[in-house]
Amino acid sequence: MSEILNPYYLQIVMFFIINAIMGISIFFTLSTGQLTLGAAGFMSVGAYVGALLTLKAELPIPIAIFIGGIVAALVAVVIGLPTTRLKGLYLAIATLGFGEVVRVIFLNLEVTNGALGLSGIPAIAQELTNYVYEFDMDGLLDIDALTWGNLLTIIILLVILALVILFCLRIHNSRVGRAFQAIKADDHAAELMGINVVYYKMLAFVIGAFIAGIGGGLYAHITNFINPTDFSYHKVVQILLFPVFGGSNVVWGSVLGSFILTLLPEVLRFLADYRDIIYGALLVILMAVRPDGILTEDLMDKIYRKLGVKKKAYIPETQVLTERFEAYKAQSKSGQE
Amino acid sequence: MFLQQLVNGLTLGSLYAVLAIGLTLVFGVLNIINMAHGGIFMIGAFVGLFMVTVFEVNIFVAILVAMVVGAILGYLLEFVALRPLRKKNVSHLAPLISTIGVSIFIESVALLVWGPQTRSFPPDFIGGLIDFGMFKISMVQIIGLGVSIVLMLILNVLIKKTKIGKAIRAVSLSTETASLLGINPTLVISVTVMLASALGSAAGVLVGLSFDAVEPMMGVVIGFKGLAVLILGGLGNITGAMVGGFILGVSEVFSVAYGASSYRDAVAFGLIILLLFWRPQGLFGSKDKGGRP
Amino acid sequence: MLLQLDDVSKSFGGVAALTGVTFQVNQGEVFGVIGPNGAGKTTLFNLITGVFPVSTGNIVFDGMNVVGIKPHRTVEMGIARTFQNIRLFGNMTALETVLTGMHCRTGSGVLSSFFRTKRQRVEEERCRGIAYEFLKLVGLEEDAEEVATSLPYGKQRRLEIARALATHPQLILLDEPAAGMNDSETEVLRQLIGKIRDLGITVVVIEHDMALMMNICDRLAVLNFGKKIAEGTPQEIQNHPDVIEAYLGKEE
Repeated sequence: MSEILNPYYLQIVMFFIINAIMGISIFFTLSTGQLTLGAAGFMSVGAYVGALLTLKAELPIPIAIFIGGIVAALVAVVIGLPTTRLKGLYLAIATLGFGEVVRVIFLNLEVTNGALGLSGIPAIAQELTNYVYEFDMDGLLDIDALTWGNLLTIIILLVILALVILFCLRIHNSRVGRAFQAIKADDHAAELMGINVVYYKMLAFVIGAFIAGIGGGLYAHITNFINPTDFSYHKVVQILLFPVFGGSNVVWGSVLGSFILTLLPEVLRFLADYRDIIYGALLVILMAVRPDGILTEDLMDKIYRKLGVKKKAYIPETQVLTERFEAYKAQSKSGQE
Repeated sequence: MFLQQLVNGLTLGSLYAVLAIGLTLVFGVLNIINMAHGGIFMIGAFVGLFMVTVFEVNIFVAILVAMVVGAILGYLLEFVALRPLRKKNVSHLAPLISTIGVSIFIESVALLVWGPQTRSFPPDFIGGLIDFGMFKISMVQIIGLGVSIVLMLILNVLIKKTKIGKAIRAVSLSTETASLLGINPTLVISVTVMLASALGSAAGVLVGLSFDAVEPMMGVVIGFKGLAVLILGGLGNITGAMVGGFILGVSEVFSVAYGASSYRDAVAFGLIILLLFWRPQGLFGSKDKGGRP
Repeated sequence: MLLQLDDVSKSFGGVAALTGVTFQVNQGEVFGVIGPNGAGKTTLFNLITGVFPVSTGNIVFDGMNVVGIKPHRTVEMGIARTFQNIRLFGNMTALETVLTGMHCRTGSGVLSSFFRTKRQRVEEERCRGIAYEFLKLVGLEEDAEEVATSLPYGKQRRLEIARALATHPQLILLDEPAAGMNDSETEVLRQLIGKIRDLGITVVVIEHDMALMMNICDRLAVLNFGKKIAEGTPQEIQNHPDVIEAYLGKEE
């Protein structure tokens, strides 16, 4: 038992969950057809704001992380005003540039401690371990307090991930989600169906940034240490790979992608020097075989049907059109008389 | 001082320009961003270095050999990572990721074979400094600037005057129409990627020489700047890439010279963000290119 | 009078697409716009729906000036349209497509969708019912769960009309609705346009199928080279010398 629950494995699970959240942040913006590469930038905003609030202002961790997400969203509003008007790859590179500018700013600010970064950030696991002692859970089920702290952290992270996924699924099947899909498929036609394209693109951009900010805050309070290189170009590419590898059209794709791509390097550890070579080759092969990623909408439909979770939506009997026909008939009749 | 910085900036800019032209050529024809360009750039630098150190040839031969190797790599890149994706109607994400895969592959192979250490050219391989009074220019700078300009001129003639150049332009305007006119798009795309990779390779040798440093990760940061130039000049526009390269080189050198040295790497992207506010399609870009999400 | 175009001109980079076009569309009528290819018919639709700003002139819809108004706002004002080259939304089912059309007549947002508030659920349910009614109207109720873009061509055209109707317009602009249809499909379309009119919705239609146009339209305007050369009832148009010339060429 204690072998499986060693801190190293548990840490990998934590990183998988945070990566999944980050992947979803990209997926969410992508669901309006906008490819943004600013996730690492928003993540760093959330991480630094959250860490500074717990370190310097001694705010409770959850509040600090939440504020970090809000600040990331506010930054997204400012950045998004001009950039969401950009199309295609221009948007991708402009947001990539934003991330780079943010990184360099954090590198040069005094309050963020420059290249050295922030250390000694309160850890979620540590806080929870204190509760474990308080409630006398040390040794419960033969699991020591530290491991309990880690396990509880994972549970909290899983709850947050579940909420994020639920959020995406519910939005997808709603008026807002249909507007997103319409914009992704054909933004010109969407606008001519009465959808305020600029508003919804901005909305997706800002929500994506909020999710990334939360992910960053969680990251900071799990690793206890952040510095600007954590959020470099490499991070951007890494995050982008999660949805694209797992499937960029469904929210589960980001989860699967981050699961595989977080575990793979660990599994391939025995290959040591050849690991990245295989990783690179794998990406090329996957894109040639499944360019939309592993999970596609069709595949998800089949899975849902197999699991029997997809119910046909109830369609009530309404008489709106019939009434309108009659009303118009009556009106034109009385007009004739 | 000002003039000296300008010379330094233009030299750096000419290297950026050669690098970015490779990216912009591929974008023009395929509508994708080739993220493996930095990797080929790095291989070019290594090939150039080994030609000079092992085979002891002069720098021009080394550049030429690097370009040939670059072209071969370009062909392989196109064959392995891009061609399979063209057959299906896939989103623009797929080639992006596919070329990222190639760049990770190339870099990790280089790291495995050559190790992470930085190598330099033989001491005094190209020495000398010409003093014009107002400014000084080193032989290395002259070679960098000279070779870049010659390459750009050759490319210009190639694109504007030759048959294959016309075919490349035709395909970048519309693949469909070009193939109706009897142009073989697969061939044109292969040639374009090879040409772009040869240029990237040459830029690798020149940058390696200028900074006297060759290492497996050198393509990452520079590839990044190539992207900035690509956007600055307008996607798919060769003139734009040239001018954008010079603008970026000069503004970087000046930002370092006039006090903002720690912000140097942000200059590139600060510039493009400002530019995109004003001209969302880049300096020379047309509105409809790259518009597809 | 529902729609009024007053001396509308539009040029693209110096090339005139429309010059001084003036006409009125009355409430409840089916108004046709015909003319050879390149006469500026689709440009006309793009101006009415705010895709392009007019160069000069005025467009008034239901007493409101639509010049300078964004496309999505013109839809809210009550103008809906279909497209010459079908533009359905990729992966949506037919029902979802029509639901998307109802966007501007509904109001639930991100939070109410996340929390599935009662109001949101009631709205969704009612929308599905109404969307299904529209599908029935265009004869696609059997295809509600089919992916829109996998439907046969004629059905895709009718689905586009259903989507446009779902925006609850006062005026619907149909851009070549019969293009590529066979005779029986065209007949279904003819009946559908009749039903749209019975709903009290005014129709402006661009179409090359003259038999269809003469049959369904109350009045027509003829465009040639961006200018209106004639306007009137089908009979008047058929006998108008300028129209005959535009279509058949000048007799020597």
